[in-house]
Amino acid sequence: MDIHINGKKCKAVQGETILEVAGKNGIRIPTLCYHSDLCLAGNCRICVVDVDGARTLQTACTAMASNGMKIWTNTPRVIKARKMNIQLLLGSHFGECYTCPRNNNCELLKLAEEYGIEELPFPKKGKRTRELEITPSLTRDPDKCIMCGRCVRTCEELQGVHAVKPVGRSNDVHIDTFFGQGLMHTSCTMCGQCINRCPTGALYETSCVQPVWDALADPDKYVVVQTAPAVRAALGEEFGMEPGTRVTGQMVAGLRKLGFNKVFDTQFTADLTIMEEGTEFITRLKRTLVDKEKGLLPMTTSCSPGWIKYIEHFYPDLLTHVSTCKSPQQMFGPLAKTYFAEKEGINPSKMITVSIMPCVAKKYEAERPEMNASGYKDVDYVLTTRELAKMMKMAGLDLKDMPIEEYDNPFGISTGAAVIFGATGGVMEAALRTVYEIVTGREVPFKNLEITPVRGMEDVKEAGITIEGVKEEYKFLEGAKVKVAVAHSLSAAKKVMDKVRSGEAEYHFIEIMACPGGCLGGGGQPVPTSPEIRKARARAIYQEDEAMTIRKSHENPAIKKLYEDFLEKPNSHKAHELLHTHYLKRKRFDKVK
Amino acid sequence: MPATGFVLERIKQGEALKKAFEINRAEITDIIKDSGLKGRGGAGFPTGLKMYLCGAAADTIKYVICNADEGEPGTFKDRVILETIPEKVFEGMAITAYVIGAKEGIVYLRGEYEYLKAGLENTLDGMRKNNLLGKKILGSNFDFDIRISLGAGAYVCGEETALIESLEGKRGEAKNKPPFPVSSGLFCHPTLVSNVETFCNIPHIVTRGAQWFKNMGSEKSTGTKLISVSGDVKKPGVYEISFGMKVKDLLKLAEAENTKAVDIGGASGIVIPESQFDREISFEDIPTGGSVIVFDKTRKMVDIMENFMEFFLDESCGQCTPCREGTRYFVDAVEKIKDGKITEREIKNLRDISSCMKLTSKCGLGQSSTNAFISILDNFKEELLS
Amino acid sequence: MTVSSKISKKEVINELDNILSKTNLDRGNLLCVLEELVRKFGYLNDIMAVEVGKRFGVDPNEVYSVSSFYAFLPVKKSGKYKIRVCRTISCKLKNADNIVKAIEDEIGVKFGNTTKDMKFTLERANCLGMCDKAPAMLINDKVYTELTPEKAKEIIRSYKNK
Repeated sequence: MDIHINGKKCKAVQGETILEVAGKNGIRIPTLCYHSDLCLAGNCRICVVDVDGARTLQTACTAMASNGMKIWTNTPRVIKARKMNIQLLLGSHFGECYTCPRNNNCELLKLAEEYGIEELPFPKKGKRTRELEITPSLTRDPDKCIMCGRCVRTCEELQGVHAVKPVGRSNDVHIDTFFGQGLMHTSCTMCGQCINRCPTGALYETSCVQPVWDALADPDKYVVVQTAPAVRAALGEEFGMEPGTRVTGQMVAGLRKLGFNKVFDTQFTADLTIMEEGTEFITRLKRTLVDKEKGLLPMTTSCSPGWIKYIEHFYPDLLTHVSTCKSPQQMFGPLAKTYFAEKEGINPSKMITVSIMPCVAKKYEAERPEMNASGYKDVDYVLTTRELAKMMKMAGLDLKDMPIEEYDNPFGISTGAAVIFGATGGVMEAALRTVYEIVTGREVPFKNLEITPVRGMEDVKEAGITIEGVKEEYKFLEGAKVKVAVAHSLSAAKKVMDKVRSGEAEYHFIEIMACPGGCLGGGGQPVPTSPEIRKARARAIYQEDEAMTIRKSHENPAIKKLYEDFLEKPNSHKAHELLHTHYLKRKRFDKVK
Repeated sequence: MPATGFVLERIKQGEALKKAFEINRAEITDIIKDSGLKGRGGAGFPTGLKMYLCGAAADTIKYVICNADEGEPGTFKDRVILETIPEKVFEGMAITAYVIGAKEGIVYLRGEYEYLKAGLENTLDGMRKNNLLGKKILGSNFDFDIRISLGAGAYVCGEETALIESLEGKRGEAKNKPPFPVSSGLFCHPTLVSNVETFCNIPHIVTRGAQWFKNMGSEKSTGTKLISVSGDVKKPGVYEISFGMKVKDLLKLAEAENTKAVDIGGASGIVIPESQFDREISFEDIPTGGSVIVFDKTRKMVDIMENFMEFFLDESCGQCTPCREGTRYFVDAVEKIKDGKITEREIKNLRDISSCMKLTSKCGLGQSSTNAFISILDNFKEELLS
Repeated sequence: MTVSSKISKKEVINELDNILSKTNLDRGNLLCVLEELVRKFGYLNDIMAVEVGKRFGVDPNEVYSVSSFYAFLPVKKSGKYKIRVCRTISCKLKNADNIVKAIEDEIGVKFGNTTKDMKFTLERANCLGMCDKAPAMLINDKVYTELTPEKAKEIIRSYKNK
């Protein structure tokens, strides 16, 4: 069918919105509550347009195109109404832009500029009306909230967590937790997906920038840093580069310039995770198939702290299914403060471990009381990708100008299997590359080691791999068809875990990442996010894998040496002490008696 | 024009329904269309067209909902109907259901009227006993029953999409339209929502015909209207008038004296001064859901403004920007008017906010919530700004 | 109806069993069940939201969010008898403010508050649809019209002994 936008004839398909048709035809309509990851709300009334025959203005994001429709996106009354709605939002938006963590990256501020807001019809709200809520991972500033509802939709649709909801009505309506009990007492997983979608500074990570500066400035402290795989595929965006630009070497150089004593790679412990988790998986297979034990399979991954907190709240009965392996971040911490400290003769009490993560749940994870296997706090500070960019900017560093440098040894050596941890399906792919080879002595039977069925952005992916021609000690696996599933986002996790709970699933191994796209879409990554941006980051990650000389974790020479020198073998007693953990059965609402 | 009076009259139960069974469904729709009956809740959508659209929607499940969430300040005619002749409302619902092919009817009764519920249930029971509701009504093949669902104190639920949300057990927030309820309403099924008084008209039109109905009222406003009159009058109460009655004639009926201003349409309506008392109550001139509040010369207009704007500050659902954010400026402005401190510039800004609310609010609440304020400002400027 | 400062999970479960023996678990009945709970306990608390959520398969936080929207589903402690005096213009013209003052006098708390014994909560209500018999008030589901300060006090007194 045909519709007319601003006099231009445009093709439209049944079920398309005005906004979609306009977008395809290069006509920009401003939006605010709209987000490409979420269902439609039509609340902010910024995208209003004139439609011939309609008495009032229509929201382009919700109004469906119909044949012959005549739409005007920029009439004087449309512009005036949009401007007024922006002014009304600004009028109750508390605080000054220069103290806001979203300074320069605020959708409301951008609209204010676009619509030439010079003053407000009435003076702005001058006093704080609701207090900040600060958790180890995220901070909520209800006074900066403009009630677009994106966080609510994110938490409900994408994550199935329902941690925040609109409460009350009219001018008093606000976003809150269950009976105002706070994020820490409800089942917030700390995934931070709400941060990525908040148009303003109402949601942001609880910052660790200052304590890291303090540590770097302290001559008594030896500060080491680790960087997660997904960071290198997104950090460039903070410096104006296209999504999907790989900046690994520049980031390493920048970190060195910031003054870190050693720049290490979380990918090293990602490879280590594969060794530990792969071995654990084979053991669980054996205990299930040979010893007929129950509750061990399917095994799920444990790298994503948002997922861990989710299963602790929502499926506490299934915790035995979760791999006991710590996440790569938390494997790194104790190794730095034991193995590395010993080797270098550094007093671990003087060592500060900082990690750069695409994640805000990692901040919470680092604060978990059990995370002190080294005898010290294993990971002292967690910075998000965004916070690292901020520190670089504070130090006058532009990533674009940085030379390409290499990570330090020994924790700087990693494989292609480790870098793909950053994308959904990556841990599964890395694990299969190693487990298959351990068991059969041959490479996994996929062209160029690319296990494509577990790649891509479908929310739940399944694959099966038949194991044949096994080595003598793995006879129990001969002919076994190993079924795996990969889920990203917690609503996808729910689909899979409901099947596990009901017994309907026949999976052996499940990878779950709390965030859409996996870590590359993490709550600590640059804002904005969209399916396209996440795809671009995934491309960068798989390119990085292809470019690596070693692409299987068990072939990482530094890992081999670590086992020889220190850990003996995967799942050894020492490995268990340092690299494995346990989980907590949590209630949905711990304040409800 | 004299008061007419049939809406509140008792009828012989089942007569209209029986007649409806004798006529085919499309014909009843045509009769209602031809009669010119428009929704009595205030918005005035043609009832026949609504029936036609809902009847034409393809679905095996459809609903008829009676909007008894009478919350507009100054309106109480639906309460009087439900106290006196609920059986006529239910019969109107049954005829409607028969026409559109619905099996379930729901009365959304405002929480404030909970005390009416027992009586309504009694009436329903009686009708079931007389086979006017239930299975195979009056020996036909038509099954239909009605249940009563209580609201819980939210004015916005009088808006049909918010009402439906509420019936679905959700926050009473209006939905984006289209789709309209006639194609996708309660639980996404085609749903016809009409006001209590509208349903009361239907049995009469079915038995007496469209022409009889058209003989009353004006060209575009056929039939009669129940008006709730309150405030500074000697005889407050419900009056049934022919559409087109002049405001001054209504004031005479209610024995108003010394009248300074009349609010027509409640908090979302307009307030007119004596010079406009020649205006008519009709869809052509001043439409209303039925509220008329009379103010005598001792009243201050700023107090009326304040009361209405505070009402909306309570009752906006808060989901869309203009309504949630806009309303409070009018409440603040009332204070400034009282203190004599409002400036011309601020008044201009308020008018701009008001037109933005009218143009861009998601539902009728935000689109009409500044009506009273602006009309008082326009009609009583000297008093307010002196 | 019982109003005590502590409502136990057991009480809530018993009452829910009782309510749900007459009602099915369609989401459309959610409000009706919440209304019944308010009738019994006077308000809704976190325990009720969790239990209702469980039964209906609706997230408890959603139950809270829904309740908080409606004036008649209080999510904060509220008295056994909710006195709702109409604040809308027709009642105001008939001196509803004096009725409020009289009731404040009688129960010893100001508008918007609950008595210490959790017996009365005094609230304002928007139009009760009793404009022809103004001023009006509701006490729970009972309506009182054509009030005078004396009449209002008398009515309140009759509830004190209930």
